[in-house]
Amino acid sequence: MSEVKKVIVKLKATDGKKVERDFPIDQANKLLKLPKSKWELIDKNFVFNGIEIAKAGKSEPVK
Amino acid sequence: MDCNCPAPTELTEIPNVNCPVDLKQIQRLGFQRIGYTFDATATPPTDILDLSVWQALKTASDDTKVVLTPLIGGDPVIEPGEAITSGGGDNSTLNGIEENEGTNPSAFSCVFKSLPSEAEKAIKALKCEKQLTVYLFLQGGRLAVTKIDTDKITGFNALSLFVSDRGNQGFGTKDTVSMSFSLEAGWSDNLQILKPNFNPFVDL
Repeated sequence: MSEVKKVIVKLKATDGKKVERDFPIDQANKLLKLPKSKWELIDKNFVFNGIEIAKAGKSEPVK
Repeated sequence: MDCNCPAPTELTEIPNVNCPVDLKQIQRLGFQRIGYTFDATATPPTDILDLSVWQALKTASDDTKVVLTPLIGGDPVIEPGEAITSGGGDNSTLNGIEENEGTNPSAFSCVFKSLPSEAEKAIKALKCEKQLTVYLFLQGGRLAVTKIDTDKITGFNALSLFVSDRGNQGFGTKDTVSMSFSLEAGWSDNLQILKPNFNPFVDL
């Protein structure tokens, strides 16, 4: 049985010590969608369109 | 308080009191499974004062997840645990003097008002958790926590948590749901009150 590889996305905090952290894609989506989110996407492999994280150069959201 | 041997060589110095320390009103609660420590010097740092750290905990999908209650509707109190004693005025102790044997847990209780049933049910789900830590959000946007050392902070162990069913007092009243839990004896020994860099009643 093959394991589904977890997609990890790098975010950076915009407050405090401006920490960079890796998050699973689901949590990264939740964090970026928070109304007063203190996280920004810094992963060059992905883009955030305000609704969903997608692979850079592609419009479909990452599963 | 652990009074086991070896006894200290001298009485423990009591620090000078320069300013008052009061929780004032507890207005919101944050719950998490026991085991997490905020550490401002860890890699990456998890400074309890930063909103980004709380947002990461709120959106987590593991044991570190933090859930926050609605604002407490009323009557938040902590009744300190009384002494556990034995004897006194009888033959069971030396000279009939009552013996102190320990301290009972302290009892937190509060009331939530006009809760939607979804929130009531979600709060009740905490009853099934055996090991919870609680963060006390205080009036003025302050936060009461347990200091482990200079940079490490955690909450307070919340035990035997109970959430009542909805109460109703009829015309012109608000429905209420009561919550209570025990705080271990000595819960406030390492109490620290902090002022986060955000408003925990609005931003979380």
